[in-house]
Amino acid sequence: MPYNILIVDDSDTIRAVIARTLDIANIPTNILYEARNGQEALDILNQNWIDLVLADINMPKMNGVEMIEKMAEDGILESIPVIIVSTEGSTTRIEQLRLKGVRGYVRKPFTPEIIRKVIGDVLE
Amino acid sequence: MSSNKNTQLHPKEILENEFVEVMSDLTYMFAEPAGEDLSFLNTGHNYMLAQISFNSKSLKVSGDISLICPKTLCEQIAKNVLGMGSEESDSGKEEDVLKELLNITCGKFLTGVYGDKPIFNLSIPVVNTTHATEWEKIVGNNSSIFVVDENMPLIVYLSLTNE
Repeated sequence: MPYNILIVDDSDTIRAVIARTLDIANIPTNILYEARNGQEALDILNQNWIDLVLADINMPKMNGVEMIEKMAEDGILESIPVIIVSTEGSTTRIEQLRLKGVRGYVRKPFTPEIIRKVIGDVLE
Repeated sequence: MSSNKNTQLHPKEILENEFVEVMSDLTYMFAEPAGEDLSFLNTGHNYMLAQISFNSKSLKVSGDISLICPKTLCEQIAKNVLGMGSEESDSGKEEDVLKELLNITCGKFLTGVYGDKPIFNLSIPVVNTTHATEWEKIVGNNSSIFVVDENMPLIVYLSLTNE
């Protein structure tokens, strides 16, 4: 079944690369939403049905960690799976994010195969 | 105390290795270390200067990495990353792509030097336009100079402080 996916990253480039990679990886996509920071993402999440969020950590206005914490406080948003797509290399931080509810992690730069595997693991 | 997974390499060497790998993986371009003849640097390009800062409270380490690149090379990098043909316009994406190139390089550099346990805070990269007279001030012992596409220079500069 095709998914409504939200990409959250302050980089226009990375959002475009992720969108292209989702297509190459044959991830069934219904609607693709984009946000430049955590606050824009929350606005979209509150107005639309989203099946999956792919989010960076380091963003202006509201970073990925703050966004995830806000989602966890919301009775509806807390159930939406979030995959972090980031340059983050610290397993300590990644573990902290998993404890906050993050379901998967992809390190940049990534391949379609990696994206497909992580999304498959999260959504199955 | 740092946990350097590449115990025999200086941080500058680790940065060079990670940068070359990121360039290849992200942009499909090869950055080769420049030889001793640096006359190709004085080519009158407009350059773009990208900078990112990082720090770790637990390790008491801070620093920044700068990336200096001719604007025309940035445009080509942007097209490669975005999968655009040479005849297509990159619509001013070169600044954004340069930030991401630096962001990814910094992340991999920090893991390469300090391992995958410490948490680092990274700034959001900043990009400015500069001219040859500016980057000449930066080129020094902690700079690594690369050649891309046979004659395009690309400079990576590391500043590291142990508090």
